[in-house]
Amino acid sequence: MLNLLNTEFYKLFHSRYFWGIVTFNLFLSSVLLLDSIGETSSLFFASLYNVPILFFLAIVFSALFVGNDFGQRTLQSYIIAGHNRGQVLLAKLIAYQIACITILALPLLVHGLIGRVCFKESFVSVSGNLYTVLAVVVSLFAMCLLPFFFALLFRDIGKTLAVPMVLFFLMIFLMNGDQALFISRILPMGQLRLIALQQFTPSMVQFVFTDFLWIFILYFGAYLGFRHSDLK
Amino acid sequence: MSSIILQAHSLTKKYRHTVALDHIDLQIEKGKIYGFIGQNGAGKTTFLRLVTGLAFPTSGTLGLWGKSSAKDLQEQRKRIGCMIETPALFPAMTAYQNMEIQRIQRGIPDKTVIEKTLNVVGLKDTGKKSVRNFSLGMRQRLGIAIALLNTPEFLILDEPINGLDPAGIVEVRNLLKSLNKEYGMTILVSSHILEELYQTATEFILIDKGKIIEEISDQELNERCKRHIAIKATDPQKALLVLEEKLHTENFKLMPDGTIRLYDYLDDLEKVAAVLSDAHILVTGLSVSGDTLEDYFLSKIGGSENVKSPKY
Repeated sequence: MLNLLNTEFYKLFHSRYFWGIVTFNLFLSSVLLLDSIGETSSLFFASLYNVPILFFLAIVFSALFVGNDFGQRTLQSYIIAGHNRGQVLLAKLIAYQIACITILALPLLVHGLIGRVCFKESFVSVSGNLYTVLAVVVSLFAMCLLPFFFALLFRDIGKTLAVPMVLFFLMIFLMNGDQALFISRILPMGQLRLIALQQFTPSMVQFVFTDFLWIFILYFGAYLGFRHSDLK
Repeated sequence: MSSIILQAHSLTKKYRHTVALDHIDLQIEKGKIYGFIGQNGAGKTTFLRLVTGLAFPTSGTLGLWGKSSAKDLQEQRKRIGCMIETPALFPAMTAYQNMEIQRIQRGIPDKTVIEKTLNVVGLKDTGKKSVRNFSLGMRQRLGIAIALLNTPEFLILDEPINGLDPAGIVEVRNLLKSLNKEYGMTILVSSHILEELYQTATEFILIDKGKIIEEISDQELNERCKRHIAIKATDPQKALLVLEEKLHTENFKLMPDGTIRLYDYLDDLEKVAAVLSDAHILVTGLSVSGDTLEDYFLSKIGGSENVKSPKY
């Protein structure tokens, strides 16, 4: 397992697209701040407000990091080398989630620090700072698991990119429809927007519970699909 | 200690509409070089994918070093090195980085093994050139290097000489032979270039339509592919009778395409021609030839008419 994790991190740190996406996301998030700054109480929440929009970059990353690994048959080398499929999946998931959270949370950290240092903003949330950070991390985790699930399901770069991208636009559409509030409460992407606006209704605990439910369903769905599947 | 490396019993793999492997029974013994021969779609790669754990059999059992439970098989696969179809590489990375990934995931502590293995396949001086800029032959060499990284006891190579230049083919052949000789490495090679396989392998496994049609050693093959007189006649059945009566031999064979192979009178072609001519048999072809592995394989699958040909 440790060897698999080391390998995944080696691949991650040597991949240009990972650093490219991190940089591009930081740039794009900073540009989008100009729009969202008036909607929220601080730079951190203004930055968080844009995270759902920037989710498409996590989808692109999942296609390149997971889908491409299947497409190039490089992930298969782990199986051939005698590694357990469950461990292969877990190692991939850990590296992928750390990468995705780095991509999506780095702007939050940078903008939060700028707000604190330059504008003397205090990071105050209605539910407490720790819970907010926890809810953000869990929501990001659940949100990023969706393209990972499809990457494991399709095992191909094209479909891993296309299907979650369609779902991304569908979720954006639903979050702007008549049932926007209800949809936002059950979708991790919507929850992030509600946290940014500090609308923790019904409660933060329910947000976290919903996210864990998503994580459980998507992870086990991916595991069951991968465990006995024939690989190219 | 058992000398059986791989044992398949009634191994079957079915896809939705096709039977890719049909009750395969096979044993691979330690220290031999096996040539795996079959047409496209015969089931070679499917078999190799089952062995390497990439796919699961529909029925039947597979054993590696005498172990056949799922967990044991997984453990035994650490002793295998393989390259199936095209090499699985990271195009944006260098040869060294690709090897480093494999070294880390296999938990090989010695970093110098990378340089050594790259040197063996002639890729030591590729420097910072990324794999996407490699030629087909260079990628193939890198795939072989990855398969050799852990100095496996059992090496599986699927079409290893695809894209290699003639010098590269000779190098790979010599490499496989030396690995087999020096380390006692058991090797299973599938290739479409049968003449090349003939020069490398000591055992041959012929597979067609998902079934093993024959397992044969190089000595047996040489015996069966021995020199003969190939006779093409308008009436082969009558020609056989004439040969039997006039030349007092039964050392001949009628091939599926109607050609007669006579294994006697190799130095007396004129006598054979005269006997047939006297019997008023029109001979359209008479020559001394020897079977190649390709001919042998074709004869086993029922002649060249059974070879898949493109339809326009």
